[in-house]
Amino acid sequence: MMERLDQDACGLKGVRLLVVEDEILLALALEDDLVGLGCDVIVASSLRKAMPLAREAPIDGAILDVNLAGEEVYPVVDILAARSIPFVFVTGYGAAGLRACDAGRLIVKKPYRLKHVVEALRSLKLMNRAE
Amino acid sequence: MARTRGASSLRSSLVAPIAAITLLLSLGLTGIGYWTGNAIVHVMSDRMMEQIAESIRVHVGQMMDAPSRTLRRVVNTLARHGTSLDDPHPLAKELYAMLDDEPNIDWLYFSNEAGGIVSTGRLGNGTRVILLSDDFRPGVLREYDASSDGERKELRKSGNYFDARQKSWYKLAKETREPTWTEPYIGSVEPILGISLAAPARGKTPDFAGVIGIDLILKEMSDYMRGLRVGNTGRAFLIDASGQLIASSGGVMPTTVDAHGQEQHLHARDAGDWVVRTSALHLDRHPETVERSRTSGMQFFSYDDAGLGRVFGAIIPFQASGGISWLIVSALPASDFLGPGRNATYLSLAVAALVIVASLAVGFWAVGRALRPMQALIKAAHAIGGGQWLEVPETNRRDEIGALARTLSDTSRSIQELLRRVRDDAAAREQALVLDLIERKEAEKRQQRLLNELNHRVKNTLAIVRAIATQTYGTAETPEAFLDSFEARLLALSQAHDLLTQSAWQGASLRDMVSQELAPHADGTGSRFVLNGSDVHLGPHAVVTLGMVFHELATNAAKYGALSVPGGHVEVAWTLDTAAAGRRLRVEWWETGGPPVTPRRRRGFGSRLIERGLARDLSGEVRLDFPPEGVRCVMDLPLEEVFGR
Repeated sequence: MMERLDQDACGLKGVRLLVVEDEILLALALEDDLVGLGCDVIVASSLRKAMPLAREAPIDGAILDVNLAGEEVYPVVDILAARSIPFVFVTGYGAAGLRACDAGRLIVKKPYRLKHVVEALRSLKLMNRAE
Repeated sequence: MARTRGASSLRSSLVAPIAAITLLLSLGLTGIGYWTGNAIVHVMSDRMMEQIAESIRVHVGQMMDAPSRTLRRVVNTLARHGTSLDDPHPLAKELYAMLDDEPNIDWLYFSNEAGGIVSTGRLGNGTRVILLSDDFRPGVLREYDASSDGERKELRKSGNYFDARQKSWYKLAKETREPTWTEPYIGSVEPILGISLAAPARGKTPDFAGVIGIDLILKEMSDYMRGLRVGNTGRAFLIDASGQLIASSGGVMPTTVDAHGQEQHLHARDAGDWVVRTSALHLDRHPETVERSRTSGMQFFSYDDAGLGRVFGAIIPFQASGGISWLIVSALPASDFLGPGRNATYLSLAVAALVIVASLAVGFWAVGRALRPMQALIKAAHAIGGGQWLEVPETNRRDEIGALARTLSDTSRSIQELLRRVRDDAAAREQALVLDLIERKEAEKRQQRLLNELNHRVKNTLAIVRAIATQTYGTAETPEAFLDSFEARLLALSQAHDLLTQSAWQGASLRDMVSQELAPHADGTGSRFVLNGSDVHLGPHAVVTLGMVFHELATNAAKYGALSVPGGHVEVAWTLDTAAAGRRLRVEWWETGGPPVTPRRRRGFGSRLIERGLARDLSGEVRLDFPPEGVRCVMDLPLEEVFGR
């Protein structure tokens, strides 16, 4: 809407992303935004749905809400870390809401602007592994 | 150790009185025995002394009677034979012959008025001799051998000058004209204690022609006395009036040898025998006793001697015709009888001591045995006092110890119970305190969690608001339209949260939720909406998601569909499919009576929310159709998604 970002300037075109977000509206909005930037987006609304995707889906990075309707996203984190897939946390808690072992991970605090997400994704130096 | 002392003192207090009573009884019995023994000894001694003295009196009396009869016979025989008393030779023959017939007589003699003497007799060795004073007158006394028929033979030896008139027997016989005994004396021929009995002889001169006498050596009496036994240490003896010893039991000799080798007649108080000596001395000191015996017969006496102890004695006079006036004395130390009595006393004392020792030992043993259970109880009580709950022994006994044990056991149980209660109380209080602490910590944690949750929700909600804004912005054609849609969506979200707040975020019923979303579009007729379906409870996540979905459907219907014209209807129906394959909720939205539906050029936010969001969010199958007669939406949702989150 107000923040229209240039698709090419973002450098995220073709990047495959897993979005784990339990809030349907947030997921929809983020999906729209990222798709608008040229990303391939897979959305999972619960931990149960995210687990198989994290294990098997061909993805280059992930955006992870920490609190998934009372469940925490860490099992997904461990799988992604094992697969060396970079990711960014999205949470209202900030760094204080993370596990000790995840201190230092990239965090986008809710509520966020699209450019915060884009900056975080860019700092992950994502690359399209399919290419 | 207080325990041991308590037990042993109890033991002593039980046993000591018994031992003391036994001791007193023993001493008492011994004392009574001793006293009784003394009394019995006294009586027995008196009785024994009396019998011995009496026996001596009878026997000696008989012995003294025989010489009297013999002398009488001699005098009568001489008179009958008409033997001349002037010629010593036939007289000697006559006397000699008579001596043969009288074995108990040692010497026979005759003294004439002139004082001469003729005598015949036996020496100690049995030799027969004849004694004759020269010319049958006072003069030298010569000793001749004698033939078997009494003839004078050779001179054996010549003695001292002799005058019969000087002799006491001569004087007494002449004076009394009766047969008279002399005092015992030491023989002049042989140094043997003898006695003479002299009687006046009547010849031509009818009154007094001389003195005929016999000598006795008191052999028979001495033998008799010597053979007497007066207990073990007692003595019986004869003394003459002057106190000289005549004969005694126990081998006490009446004579002694003086410093010159001469036999001397012994005074009883000088006797070597201690009983004879001390009793004689006692009688010397108490002449009244002797005197009383002469007048009143048997007298008893007793005295204490340093060496002999108590001595019991009896004295009785012995009198015989011929002036015999002797005394028979018997004496017996009490120790003679008391010895065995004392031994019995010592024996009884020893037995008493044994009994006391035995009773002490048995008492200590028995009381100790009886008290042993007490010690076990004391031990148990100590243990209980120390906090160890030993099993109390002896509780099966039926006596006092058993009762004590039961009491102790009950007390122990009560204390244990009390302790347990106190401990439980303390534990409960401690637990309450801990629980309180935990609770407070929990509360703090809960509060922190709530704050975090609140922060999370606020941030989340703001993010959602932002998402709604961006999504609404993308589809709104005018700022007014944007504001209208945006506000309506915020309100729908808010209402969904209201429903959840009412149920403490536990969810809401599908009917309530649908009614709430449709309420703004009611027209007052009550027939615009039809809700069909049993009441289904939705989880909080489904309430929010479905709330947004129905909001979009209702908004779309109000703008373009059935609710945009009067007479339009919306029917919402839902069913629960409980097939075994998976329980599912099937919800259908069906608009009728609206303007003809024209397919939309592009899908708006609502469509995407319904088709993509709902399908993704609740794993359901959603079908949104736009047939001309009215919008139709069919949602097929797994129940676990609808109920669960």
